[in-house]
Amino acid sequence: MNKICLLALRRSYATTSTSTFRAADTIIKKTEHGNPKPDPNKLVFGANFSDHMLTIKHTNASGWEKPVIEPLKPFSIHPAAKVLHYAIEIFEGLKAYRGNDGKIRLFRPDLNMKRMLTSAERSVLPTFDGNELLECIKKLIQVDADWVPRSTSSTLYIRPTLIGTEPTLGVGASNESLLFVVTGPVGPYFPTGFKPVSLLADTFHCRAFPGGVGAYKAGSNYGPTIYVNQLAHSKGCQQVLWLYGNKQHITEVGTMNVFIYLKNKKGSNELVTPPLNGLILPGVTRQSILDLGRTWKELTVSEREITMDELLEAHRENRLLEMFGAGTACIVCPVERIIYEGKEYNLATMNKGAPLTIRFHDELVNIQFGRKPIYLFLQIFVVFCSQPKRVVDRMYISFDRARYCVRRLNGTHEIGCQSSIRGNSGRMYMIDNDQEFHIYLTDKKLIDSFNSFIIVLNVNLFNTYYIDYLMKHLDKKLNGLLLYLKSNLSRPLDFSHDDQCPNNRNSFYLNQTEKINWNSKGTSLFFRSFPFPIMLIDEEDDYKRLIEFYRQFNNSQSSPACGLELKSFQNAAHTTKTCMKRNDISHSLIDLQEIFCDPIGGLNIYSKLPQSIKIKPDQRSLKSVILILVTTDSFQMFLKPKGSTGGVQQPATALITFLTLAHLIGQEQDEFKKQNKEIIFVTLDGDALDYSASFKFMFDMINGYFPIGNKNEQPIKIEHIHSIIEFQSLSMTNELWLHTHPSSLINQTFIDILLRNNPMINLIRPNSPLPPASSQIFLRQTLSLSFPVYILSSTNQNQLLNHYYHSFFDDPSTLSINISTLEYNTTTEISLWIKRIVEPFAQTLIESLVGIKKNVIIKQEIINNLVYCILKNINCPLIHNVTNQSIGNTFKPFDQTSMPFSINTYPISTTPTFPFIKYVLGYFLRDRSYDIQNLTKISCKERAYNDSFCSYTFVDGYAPSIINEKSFSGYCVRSYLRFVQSISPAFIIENYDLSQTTYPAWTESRWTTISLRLFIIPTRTHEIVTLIIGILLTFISFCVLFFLRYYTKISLFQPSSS
Amino acid sequence: MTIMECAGCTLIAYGVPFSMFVFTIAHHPFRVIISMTSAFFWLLSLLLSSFLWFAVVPLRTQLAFAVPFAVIFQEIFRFLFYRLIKKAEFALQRVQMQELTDKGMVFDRFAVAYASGYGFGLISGTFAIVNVLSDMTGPGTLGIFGHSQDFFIATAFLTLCVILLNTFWGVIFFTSLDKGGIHRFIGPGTVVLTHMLFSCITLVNRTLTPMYTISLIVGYAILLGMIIYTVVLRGFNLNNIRQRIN
Repeated sequence: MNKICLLALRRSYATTSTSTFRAADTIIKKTEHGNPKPDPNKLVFGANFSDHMLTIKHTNASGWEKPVIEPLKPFSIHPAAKVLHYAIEIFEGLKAYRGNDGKIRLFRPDLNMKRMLTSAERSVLPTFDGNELLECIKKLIQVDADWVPRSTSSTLYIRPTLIGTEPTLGVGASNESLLFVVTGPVGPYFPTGFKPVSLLADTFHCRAFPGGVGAYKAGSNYGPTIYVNQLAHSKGCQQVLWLYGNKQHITEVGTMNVFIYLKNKKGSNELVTPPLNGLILPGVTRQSILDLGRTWKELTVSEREITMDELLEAHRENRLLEMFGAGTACIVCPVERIIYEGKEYNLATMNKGAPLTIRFHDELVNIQFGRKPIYLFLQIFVVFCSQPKRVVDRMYISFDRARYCVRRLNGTHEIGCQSSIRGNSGRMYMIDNDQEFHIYLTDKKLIDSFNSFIIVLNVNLFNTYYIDYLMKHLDKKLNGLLLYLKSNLSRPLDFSHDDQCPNNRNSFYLNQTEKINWNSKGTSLFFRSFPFPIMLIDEEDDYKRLIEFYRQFNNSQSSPACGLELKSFQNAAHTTKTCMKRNDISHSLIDLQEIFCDPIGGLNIYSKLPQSIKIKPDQRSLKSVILILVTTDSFQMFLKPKGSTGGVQQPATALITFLTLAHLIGQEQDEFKKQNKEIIFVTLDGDALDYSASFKFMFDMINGYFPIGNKNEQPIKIEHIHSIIEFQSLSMTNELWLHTHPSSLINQTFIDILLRNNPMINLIRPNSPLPPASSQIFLRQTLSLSFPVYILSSTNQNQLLNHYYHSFFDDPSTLSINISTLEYNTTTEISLWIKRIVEPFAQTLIESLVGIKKNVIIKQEIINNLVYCILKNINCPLIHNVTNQSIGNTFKPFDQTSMPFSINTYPISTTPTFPFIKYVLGYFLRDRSYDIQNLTKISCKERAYNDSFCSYTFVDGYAPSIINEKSFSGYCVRSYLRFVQSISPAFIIENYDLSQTTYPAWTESRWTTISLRLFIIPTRTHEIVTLIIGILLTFISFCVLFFLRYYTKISLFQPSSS
Repeated sequence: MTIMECAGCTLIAYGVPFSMFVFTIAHHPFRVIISMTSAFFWLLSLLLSSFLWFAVVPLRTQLAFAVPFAVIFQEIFRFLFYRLIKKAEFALQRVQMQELTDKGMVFDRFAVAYASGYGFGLISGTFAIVNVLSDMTGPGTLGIFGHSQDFFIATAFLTLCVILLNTFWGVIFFTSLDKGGIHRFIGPGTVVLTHMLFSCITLVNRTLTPMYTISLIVGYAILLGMIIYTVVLRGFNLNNIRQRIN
């Protein structure tokens, strides 16, 4: 009776599930910002996940929905979903392997699909066409192909899972289910060679029983084993040997199938594994070992029951050769020790180094990575993804992570690099050091044998000496440059392509004689115009690939040589004037404006305490405004869309210091209310190139647009400025220097208090030259007659201490931060250092403005959080705490990216920098009296509506910043925040002649494709032979047919049979 | 691929067919029309093969499945084209031919078979090489992954072989059908079998270290066989040729 019921149930079940999803219907939503890939050598199993996942929903009413590949995200699931209560869940585990040939392979995935279907049937989950799921998985892997480690040992683990999600609590079949697949890179199971395991042969617990679900890969099989595994751990074993029944049948090892290799009583070698009797999971590796073993003649393979007694008997009689577990994760895992009924048995497995186990391992690994020809029975291999379908994929190797140099223009010049529209190509020649450089240049024969060269140069040699030499010597033959960084350890000691005196074109000292080489190691290469493209590869495995192919094909003259093609065509040319003029010409036919270049500049953001707003007709007293300046941009010669932009010492450290100071001022706002000076915090974006942001700021101030936003607010003019304080080029030095100017206006008491409060600070003699700093423009525009400037910097009287000034090497490692271990609240040297700078500074401000001595203290956590957000992950809890949810979401796409410090072209390039600074700065300088007012979200909105001077945002709150640590459920923040686009006045003044040099006029070209490809140049003889064969063939056929035409009467050749 | 390599490959593949066109087809408007129409029929067969390939989803990646069907479709369309020509021949015979004959437009069955085969070959050869040619733009050549450097030259020779083979297959196919009797089955049968053999041999070239020599040798051996078969079929003998030369 029971059987019939089951049968009937199955049949009805089968009719409802005849439907399947189709891989061809898959909807693919790709993420815009992928996560950085983990180091393939430091992978932990199951801890890293690729960017995308596959989900397919099923309801009994409407069948399978379309498969969706979307960015990995948490599910929202009803708490009553059956899977959460009755563990209606089944899963699979398989791996994708990237072979040396670049192909990605799956190992016998059809077996996994088959098993998944039987598991689904047993859990009364919907079934489907396994091939379709396989196709979907292939698509998923194609989308995340970059996540399959380029490694000979690491792989991509694939976890298809099927769960019952119906939100009802009855124990019954689930009407709704969800199939999903997540993938993630995993490292080798044994990173340092085989490590045999010890087993606890437990006689009490059992994993599976007849009629149970041991033969299915259901999640409910694994949860209960953890307890037993802990028992094993407590007895010094790594895994459990699962036994069953009175006879203690050996069934499995941990989560693996088990194999025992012994000499049987007849004296022949036998490999035994328990048969699929319902207690054993039909493992793919198990099947493969059986299939493989059966092709070997020296052993017999048997699937038979084996008991503990037989094993121990063989052990006693020294007939036991090896014992190992087999599973997808480890492939094979040798067993060296068993604890059984309180006794320890040291097995013979490792006595001879487990030759059979290792043989199985090596064979399978070689097959999985495609290094071995495939046995006939294993031909179920799926080879796909990067399988080159087109010839072009077999001709070129692309390096898509290369950094590239682009074109920028100013009023009179162009700088940067340019390639031809189809890319520059030439013979690849690699130069690693000075010696090789000279060998190459003296090799006249080689140079003469090719028309064009792409020189691949160690990044250490990228300086004016070598570049000039190359350009002069090779002249037109030099078609491009590729720089390479061998590894992060072999960084050059100095790498700065800014001028020796940065921004000297617009410095305060323009008309003075004294010029200092602040950046003495600067090469000025950034400001050179190269007629060829320059690229740089900074990923270690890219370099390894490059050198591998280079060595392979660079042995002799006769073999084909390696060539490189660099494509980085830049749309703009000549000067800003030319390209801005071209921008204005709209295309007559389609009336579409084509843009060739964009003016450089981001946003100038300023904020102050909201209490100090001066509304007309309130008069602002003279010399009542203190500006605190910091820059938010930097530049680097080599760009990469998803890579570090450097800028840690210049300007990130100064920016963190600045924000910390803003927090302290906000924290001590009650003190500052007691005096009448306004402190305005200003960030400038665009000063890295000729101070265009400062020019814009001064331009706004002179024209009465400062502060912008509300006409009723009293404008601030030059005469209102009391002084300027600037943080510039801070780089965690033991000493800091205070540069001041002009000596006639500086406030000696302020300086004295500062130097007393912070002994780290040294005063530079007044009237000595100023280092590169935005204040120079403020002084220049006012002829240094109006206010003093104080520049706090790590730059001493004649030298910038940053060896990587304005380059991408200026990254967190230069501040001895290990970025991979940096957490949200890690106290680092730099955060301690900033605390030591900022606290005395805020104290000085209070002392000199208010006139009282007060010890101010900032929580270390705030600085730690800022360091994490700015240097590691701009989508950090801080930004979510200080904004409301909808704004916080704008940072999601920038997950795990540091704040970019590069040349901005706002609003074309949307960088997360500006919203970040706006919200954090505004929040830090908020009106703290509102913290405790307990306004609701609606009344917060009302206030925003009624007050046009301040902004009001309802936020969750940033705990370290709240004095009263009562738990808030959100509160209203009143802050003062203004921002204005910081492009140079040259682009704002109407009819301004861009070729003039009154204002900087920098623009950045646009570009479409960047590519770097490696290929083989055919040998000369090969080319000539091909051509000659072609000509000969044509000629001969022509002659023969000519002969037939005129000297025979074959009718076919007669023009007309007349 | 560099310009020299490209020029060389183009000459190899199209040099001989070009000479053939100049001396045997270009002067005869009728033959030009026939060859172009047969090319169109080949395209129809390609369309049908691609429909099949598109419909049978699970076997899309299996070239070994698509190839035999493509061959069968080609031969079916060759037969359809033959039927069409037959219809046209009767129609042409019915109208006043005198004027046309005076202008040299004789319905030469051999020439028609030849021109249709040439059209078939030209278009299938072009399809064989055009994929490769489109990927050849750029400065590099094959071989970075250890593929044979001779890929392009081998492809060119294979293309030439395809064009010539199709020409002779056309002649054999049509002539045999015209002859009737046992030839009606032997001729087309041989064509289908050799075509299938040749196409399947080229599948070998999809491995990492392709044996171009095998497919080239087989291809040209079949070509030689087809030439001999044509000669036999046409009833040429040495005397006959000597007569014609004089």
